[in-house]
Amino acid sequence: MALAQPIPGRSQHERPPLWRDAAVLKWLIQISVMVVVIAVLWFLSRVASTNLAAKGFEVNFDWMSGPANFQLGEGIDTVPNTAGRALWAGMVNTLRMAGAGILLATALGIVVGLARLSSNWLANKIGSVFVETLRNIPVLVQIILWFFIISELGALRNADSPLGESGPIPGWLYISQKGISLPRVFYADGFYQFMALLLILAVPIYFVNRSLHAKRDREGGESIAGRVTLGLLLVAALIAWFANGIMSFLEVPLYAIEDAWRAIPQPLMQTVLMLIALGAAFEFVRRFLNSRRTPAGLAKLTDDDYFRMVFAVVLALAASVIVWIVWPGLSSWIINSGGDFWGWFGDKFGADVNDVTRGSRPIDAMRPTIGTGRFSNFGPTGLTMSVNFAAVFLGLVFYTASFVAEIVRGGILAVAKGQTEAAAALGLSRSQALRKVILPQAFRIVMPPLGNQYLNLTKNTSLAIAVGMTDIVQVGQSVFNKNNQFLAVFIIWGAFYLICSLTISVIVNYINGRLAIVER
Amino acid sequence: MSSSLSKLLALLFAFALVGAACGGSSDEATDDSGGDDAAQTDDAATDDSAADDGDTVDLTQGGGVLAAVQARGTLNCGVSGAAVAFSFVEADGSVNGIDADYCRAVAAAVLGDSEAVNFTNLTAAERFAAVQAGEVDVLMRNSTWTQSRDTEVGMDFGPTTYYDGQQLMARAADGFSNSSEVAEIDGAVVCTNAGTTTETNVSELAGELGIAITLQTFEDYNQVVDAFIAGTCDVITTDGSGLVGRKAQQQPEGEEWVIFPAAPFSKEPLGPVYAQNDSQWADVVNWVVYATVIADESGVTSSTVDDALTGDNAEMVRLLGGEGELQTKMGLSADAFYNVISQVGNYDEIFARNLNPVGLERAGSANARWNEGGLIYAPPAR
Amino acid sequence: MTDLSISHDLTEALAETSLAPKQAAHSPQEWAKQNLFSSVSNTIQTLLFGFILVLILQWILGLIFADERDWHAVTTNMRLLFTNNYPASQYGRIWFTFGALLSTAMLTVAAFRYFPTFTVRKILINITGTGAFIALVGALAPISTTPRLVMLAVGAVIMAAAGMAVNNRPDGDEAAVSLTAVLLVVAAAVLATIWFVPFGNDRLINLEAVLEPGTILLETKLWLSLMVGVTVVAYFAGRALAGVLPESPFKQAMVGWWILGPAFLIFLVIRDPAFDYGYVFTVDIPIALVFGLGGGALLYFLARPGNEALARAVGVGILAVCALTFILGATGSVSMLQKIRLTILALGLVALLAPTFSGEPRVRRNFAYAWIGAIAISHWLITAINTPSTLELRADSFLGGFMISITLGYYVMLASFPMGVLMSLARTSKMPLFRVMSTIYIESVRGIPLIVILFFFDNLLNLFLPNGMSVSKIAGVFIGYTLFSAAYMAENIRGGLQSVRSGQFEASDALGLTTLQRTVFIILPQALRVSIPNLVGQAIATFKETSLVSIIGAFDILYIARNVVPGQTAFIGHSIAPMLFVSLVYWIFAYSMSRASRTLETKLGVGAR
Repeated sequence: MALAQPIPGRSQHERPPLWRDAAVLKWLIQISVMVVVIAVLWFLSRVASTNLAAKGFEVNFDWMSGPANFQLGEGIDTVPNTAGRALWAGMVNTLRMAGAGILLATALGIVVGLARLSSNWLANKIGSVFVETLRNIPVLVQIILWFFIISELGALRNADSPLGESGPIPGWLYISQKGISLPRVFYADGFYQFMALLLILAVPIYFVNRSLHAKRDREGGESIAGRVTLGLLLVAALIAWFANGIMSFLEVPLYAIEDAWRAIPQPLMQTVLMLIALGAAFEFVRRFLNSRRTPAGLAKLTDDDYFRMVFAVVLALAASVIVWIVWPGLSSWIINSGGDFWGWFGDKFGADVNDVTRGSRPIDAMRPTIGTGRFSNFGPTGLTMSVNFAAVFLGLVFYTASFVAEIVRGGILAVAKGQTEAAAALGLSRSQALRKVILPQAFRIVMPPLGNQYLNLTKNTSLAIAVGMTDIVQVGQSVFNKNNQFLAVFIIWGAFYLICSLTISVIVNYINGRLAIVER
Repeated sequence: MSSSLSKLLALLFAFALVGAACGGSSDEATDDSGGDDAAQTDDAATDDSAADDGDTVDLTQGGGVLAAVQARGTLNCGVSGAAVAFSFVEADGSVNGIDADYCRAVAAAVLGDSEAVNFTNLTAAERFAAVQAGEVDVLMRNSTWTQSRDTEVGMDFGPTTYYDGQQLMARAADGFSNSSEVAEIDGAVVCTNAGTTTETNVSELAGELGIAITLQTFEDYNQVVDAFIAGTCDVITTDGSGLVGRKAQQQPEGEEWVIFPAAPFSKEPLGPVYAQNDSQWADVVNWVVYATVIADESGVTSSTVDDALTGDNAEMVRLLGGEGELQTKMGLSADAFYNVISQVGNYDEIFARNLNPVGLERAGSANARWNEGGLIYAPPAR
Repeated sequence: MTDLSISHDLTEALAETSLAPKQAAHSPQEWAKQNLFSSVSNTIQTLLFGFILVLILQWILGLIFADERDWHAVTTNMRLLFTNNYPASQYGRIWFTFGALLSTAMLTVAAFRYFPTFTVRKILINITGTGAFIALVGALAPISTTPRLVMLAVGAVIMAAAGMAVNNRPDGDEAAVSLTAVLLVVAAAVLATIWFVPFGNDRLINLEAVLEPGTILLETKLWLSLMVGVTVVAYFAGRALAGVLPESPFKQAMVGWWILGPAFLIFLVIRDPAFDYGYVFTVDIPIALVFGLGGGALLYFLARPGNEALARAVGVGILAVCALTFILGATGSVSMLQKIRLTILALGLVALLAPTFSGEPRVRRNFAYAWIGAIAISHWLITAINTPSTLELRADSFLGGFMISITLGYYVMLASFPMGVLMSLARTSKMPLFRVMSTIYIESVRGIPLIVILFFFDNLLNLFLPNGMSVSKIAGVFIGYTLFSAAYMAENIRGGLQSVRSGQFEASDALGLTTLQRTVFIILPQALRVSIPNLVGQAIATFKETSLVSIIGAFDILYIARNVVPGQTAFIGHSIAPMLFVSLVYWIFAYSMSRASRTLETKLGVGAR
């Protein structure tokens, strides 16, 4: 706040007194605000724990392995039927919804966006009405409305029905009031062995690819590197498909790693964690000093720079204290879960848990079926989406598509008209101009806002709760309605969504980085 | 004015201002309570919380809920606001239904005015917390009386006002009849609302019987019925009252819905819930319910209650305050139950008014009089 | 859709936008030829999209006119849907608020000199389109023959008449009508509709919805007519004022009204606190007077050039006293009104800011006036909030139905604005701890869905409050939503901050401004101006997402349509009609907000960098 400006003309040794020194005050303010924030958070958590203790209630995660007491109408199997597995199934449903929604919303959005640019009056108007209607109605309302709409679909009939089996493609795709069922592709027994073998085979292919590129760089001409690599990879995949059984020996080293991991003594893990923290601080200081290095030697460090370095070291020391004294459980948790991970990984190789020889197919598929009992219902083989899923899905897709359409339209219009004219002047045909000049540039413009829409769609999947679709929020709510572990469920929700959002941000940023114009 | 003097004066003035503020208000001893705090710093709409806080204080200071309600002049009653025939908000904003009528009955007994009720709409998730925190004096929100809820800290259950039980509903076209068994739903898509005990009951039952069902959950019951009408669900399940009501109102022409098994596969006794450890208030709520039942047994309705006051049924005379001091000993006025019967009616009237329109009949059900094969029974008033 | 035809049209469209404007068509036939059937691909598109249009329209009309759709569920429950349990006897307050907003909207139109003209030609073309739409609806709706024929005939007549009128206009016809004329015609049409169309009076008689012959309630009719009258009067008053008042203060007053006015309307009119006037005059007003006038004088003095050090000393001193009052309050040894503590805190902070505003007397006077005004408003609000309402309610909250959506959206935007500004400044500042803290906050909040945050604040807020303290459901929602919204606000403002050129920073440094002065006087005004379109977008999104409160059981319009109306004995299971109505209401509001903001943006020229 009241920062004294450095007074020009004075040499450094006549520093202002400490309480008027800008660098000191800046850090004082920052640290005191941070202390206040931490104190408030600490106070709140104390209040919460007191309140919880008064109710005789303990926040824990033990219920994850307890029985779920409810069934899911959607998604992967829940075997064993524990609350943890149910939450996992909810997460898978959320991810399925988000992934499929992003794809379809993008496709629909592009079509509508292009329609709005069309010179055809009707297409243009329909596009505008689509956008203006759908983006001005809350997505929650739309999801609920879609639910009513889906009820108008036809009934599901099995082969015994006098009207014949439902369609539209009997045996492959069913769309009805009971949901949508399509062929299911899934990882089979040999998947991990297959991937391991493929990875090993990819090493020589990588070197071949590199040498081909090098050759092209030396001799010029058309590159065949891409095609050759692709061909070799296909051959490798074919080999790995049939010969993945030879990788079953990996079972032994993986189990050995598990045992070794579990044998790590806790103090060792604590030391390692501490060293990581200190090493990170050291690395930060080293890089920082390097960045201040000029050809003329180390630049003069300001007080602010010293503060930064000191603060980094203090943080590292605090982390060490936490690892050693405040939270020793962290180390044992890392040891245990690391062991669990290697054990789980080892299980995927060699003979399976029941000592039955593993099937060799890495990927398998099954066609949807309709049961022939008293009720016509989908069999377990296909990939089935319930009506709830479809309602949420369509709601999200149409809502997001209305935004995507606007982004696409804006992106294309933002490509300077000069570009179109320049392309025409170069003699490019219309479609060439579109493919090689306009769309690549438009893509660069639309990518950041598009990434934001993808994030929004992923977060909006949480509205599935409005129609009872079993996504992670709905399952979580079922859990805490029964055991009141709201705080634990909330932590899981938060962690899950943060990871999802971060992943999407990382992907979008990566694409942005690749697309960005390289500036000198 | 010299500049240093003026600065000194400014400093003094600043501290005087602060000091005056401290001194000026310390003798007011104004509310420094949390609710006020939250309202001041946080929100425009916390007026209710501030008001509720006041009630909580009353509660701890005064002689329990009864005194607090009498002092306040209105009864805070927790209801659902969206439960057909039990408590639903009418177009003009009033709340109706059997639960709402029992709120009115309690208000009539305690305050002499059946309209002195402040209805609070509560979701299923927040209803019990509201009782425990004292936000509502009594909860009439079709809540099932169970061991775990009854023994939970902070709340007790009153006498059951409606005996319900979970059943299934399917189409006659699928080969079901009223005598069908639960095991016949093997392979069906069964729909119910998410996160309720009905969901747990039916999935546990399916496990016991070894049948495979696909359980499809929906966020609210309207969607369940819509999905059943559309054909998304083969079977739906919830409390019998919900099924019968919907069958009467929503069964399409040319289709027949059947409800089975004849004996419900769960017990759902619904009744009032109130705060624990306040037996005076518990007695009041319990006896309001009993009074409506006794009046029903004696055939006293809101139209005949004046005759009964001077009639020869001694029990009714005592109950209505014609003689004795049964009510005054409870902390109520002598004519408390007279007000209940005259303003709200007896059990049969309440039942008929609210549940008959949706197709629920009393005769032959568990809610018939005890001497007619039902379970509605009250201890004698003497 | 063939890829080729789209790419063809796209390049065509691009070429067209860059070249001379299209020649205007003279007649509908020519127009159709130009816009629908100009080429093979265009014809294919017309047929394809026409088919899609027919399908969608048929299906939507089927949804609206289906036999089992009972629109009485909506008409009977209008009051519930919009205001839930607001007492009918006090409904005048809601009308008053509505009228105030309508008339100030008209004044704003005048203040911003928004007097567009509409060409007759365009109006006629729109009428032709309306006629075509009526005919299309008549053809596709699942209704019986007579109304179908009537609609077809009416649509055809309108279409033919307006189309002929268009044909008869001479080339290059620029005849236009003013906004005044359009407004008057619309007002007359609305009045005629209210008074002469027999809408029918829906009411429940013995649990059955009955459509009484006649029209809307006389009272409602009178109120609606009054609204129309007020709007027209305000429009002309605004035009008169615009000629008299200087432009800039008038605009500022209107913007200020739209920021703070609704808060007053909600508290003073809709909620109506029952002030204990004895207490107000003996305690509340003296406190506000002492703090307002005394503090104003103090600040005026402290802002004098040369008093910087003193201002800091006084600020720190007041803050120390303030901290003391909080500690003493917590230990219970000194009892004091919470608002006094908060005012002391504010006074201390503002005293620290005084050097930033030091300068000539005029600037200092404005600084002092701003303080006095802020004290007056905040003390009035605090007192109003802490006073129970005079309304007699039958349920817990005076807010309900659609009123909740508007109020919540408005207050959330208002409250998250300062937080958003602070956090965006922290995130762009050069102080690493501030940057890290605000980045962590913003990114984690933006990573989590709103509904999860609302669940948290609905279920757990009371857990984090000390014993005896509790907040109502709607207050918890408000707090959670504000914290959520602030993170998005911060990002929107950050975009504006980053668009401020570095020359601005350098120039202000060259002028010798302090960091604070630079931020407050140079950077923020520019950044906020650039952020306006994004902030308006966020306001619309905030308003739409208030619908999520229905999931946690607040009685908003969506909850009432989905759960309450289908729970009424007369309308068991009728949720589609109310849901369609709800989406229409949301659409009207969100769409007109976005249209209004677009007009305003072009008018102001904001948002363009």
